[in-house]
Amino acid sequence: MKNTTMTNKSRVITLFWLFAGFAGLLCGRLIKIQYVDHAYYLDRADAQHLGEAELPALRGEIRDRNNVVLATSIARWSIAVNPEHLQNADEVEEAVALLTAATSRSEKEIRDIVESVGTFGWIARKVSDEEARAVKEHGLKGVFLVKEATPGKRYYPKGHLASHLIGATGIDDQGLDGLESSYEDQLSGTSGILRAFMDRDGWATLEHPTALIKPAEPGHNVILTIDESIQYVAEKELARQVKEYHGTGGIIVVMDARNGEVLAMAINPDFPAEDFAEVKPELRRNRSVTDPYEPGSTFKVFLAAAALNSGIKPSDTFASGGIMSVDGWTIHNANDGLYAGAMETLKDIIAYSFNVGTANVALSLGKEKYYKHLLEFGFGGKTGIDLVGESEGILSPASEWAAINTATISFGQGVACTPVQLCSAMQAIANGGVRMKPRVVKAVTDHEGNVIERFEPEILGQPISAEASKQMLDILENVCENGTGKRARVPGYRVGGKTGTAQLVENGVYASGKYIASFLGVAPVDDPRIVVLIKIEKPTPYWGGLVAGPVFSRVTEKALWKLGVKPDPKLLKRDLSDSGH
Amino acid sequence: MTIVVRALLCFGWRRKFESEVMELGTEVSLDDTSRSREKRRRGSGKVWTLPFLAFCGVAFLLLAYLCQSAHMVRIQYAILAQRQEVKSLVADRADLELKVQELTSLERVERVAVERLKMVAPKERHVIEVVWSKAIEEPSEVAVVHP
Repeated sequence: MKNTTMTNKSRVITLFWLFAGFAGLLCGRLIKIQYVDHAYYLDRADAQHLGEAELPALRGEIRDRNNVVLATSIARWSIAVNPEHLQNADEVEEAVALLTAATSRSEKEIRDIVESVGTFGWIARKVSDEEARAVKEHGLKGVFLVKEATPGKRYYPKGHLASHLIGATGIDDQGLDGLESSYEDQLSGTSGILRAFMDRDGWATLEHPTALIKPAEPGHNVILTIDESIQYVAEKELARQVKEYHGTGGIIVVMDARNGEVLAMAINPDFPAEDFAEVKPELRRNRSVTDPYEPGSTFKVFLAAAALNSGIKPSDTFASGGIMSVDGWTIHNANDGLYAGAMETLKDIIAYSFNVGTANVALSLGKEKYYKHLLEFGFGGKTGIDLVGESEGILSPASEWAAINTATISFGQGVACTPVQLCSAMQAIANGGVRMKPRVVKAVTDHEGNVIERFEPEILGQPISAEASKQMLDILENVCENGTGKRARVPGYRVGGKTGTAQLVENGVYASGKYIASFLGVAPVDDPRIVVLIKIEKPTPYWGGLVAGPVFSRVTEKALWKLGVKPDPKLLKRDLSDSGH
Repeated sequence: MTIVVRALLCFGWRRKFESEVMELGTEVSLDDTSRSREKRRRGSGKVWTLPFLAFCGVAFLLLAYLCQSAHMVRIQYAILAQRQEVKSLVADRADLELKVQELTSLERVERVAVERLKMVAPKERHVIEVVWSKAIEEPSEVAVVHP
């Protein structure tokens, strides 16, 4: 009995130890897996179901000189679905009905996604706030919203404003044209990396991100020299005049006379910036830098400046009337009423825009001197403005000039320049002879507004002396007081400028009856603040003083008010009395 | 904090254990058979309380640790949720800023002024010139120019 009891007891003990040993082994194995090799198995599991997804960076903004947003990118909601969370037919039907009502996709498309096998499917990317709200309010299981940065979705809150200048971005959020392209490196930012669960097809989903490996760095903001108000006025006045005079388009450039900053760059016809891709290439080109044209009489300004800088006085006289023959070609004035051989001062030659007079001034100045001055004014070369596609214009070397070329170039024929080149050259005259590099970008800041890079004014040269500049401003004021530019007068301010009526060149020949009316001016002449170029294409009637002069007056007045330049009360009274007010 | 709790508990148990052993020794020294058996039974019961207390202590510590971990996880989830909310609010603010920029567009302002509010540009220009005189600190001359 005792032996049996002992045997049973030993069996129990043996079994106990066997189980204990087995349990110990299991525990040991568990400890090894759960504790000792924890990191190893975790890595293996992660490698199996976690993947890396690119986190797009938000593109930087383009702002005007007063920090008004002209172009921006904001994150948008996207709607996604996890089909595995929809467990029965009712839930599927409810999801399909909701998504069909909330989005613009068809029921069939949505049903295909919802009923597919998998854990993730996009229903709609970058939906509107209303669509996102409709989905969010229902809070349906398996349907969720993901906030995404916006590759390919750029917003231009000011609509048409400065659309040619700003340019556009492509489907991958890359700059295609304008400032979006020329400042691509600063605007684009750096993508981040997000660790997220993979679906069974190996795609990383954004539904449950697990870790942010590298945060996305938003792009920098580009601060322009453009002033929203002046740009708006320029665009509005340009559109009004083009319409009133049945023109095909036009350009206005407003430049700060002291430092070359472009305050406005209006191009007509314009378009909403968001429709950039749908606009014809010839219409979306920034013609103020890409398209040179024959400037006509506005170019006489630079002949006069070169002459003054070379010692010719404003009171020096030159034969200006009748018809002039050079190299067998005939030169005559537009409509002067002068008798043949009439002598006029340089001041009046510019004021009344005598072609014969300017031709004689150019010939007496000599082509080498004239050409040298034109080069120094920036003609025949790029101004260096920070915009893509700038043209050099057309200015053949003086060695290729015959006498007739010297004569015609003096009144703006046989030479071509861009509107920005003209403004830049005029800026030198307005700035005591010192030419500054034109620019449209003032600074680059990070997304918190800290300045990364500031673009300081840059001197390009001094084509004429300060004295010549002063004399030239006096001559230009005389144009507006007594000459062809009376309509360009601005109440309360002393302004100067030059009218231009140039025959349009099409396919290498002068097009009959097609003209460009222009006015290139500076205000106020006693302390120049702005240079303004008005160019109206194919207007009817076509005289520069008549068509472009009034636009200069209206744009300049508003721009000077905006810049805080006060009018002279005496001049204001006089000008208003003269104009019948 | 966990270390401090553990130390206090260990100290408490040790004191209790020592007092029990001392009490047990005193009881055994009495040479009374029935009382001795009774005392032994009582003594052995007290001996079993020790592992029970130890188990309770360990269980308490484990529970405290689990509670603490759970609390931390809860806080982490709360932080995550707050971060998501901040992110969402920042995005919403960007949306609102965009709307403000659209609404303050000069083109829109002018359109609303002209079409909805029926405002018109003045046909005549009125200029008021104000000249300040330092002596009387009031406008000394006011000239109004109008047709």
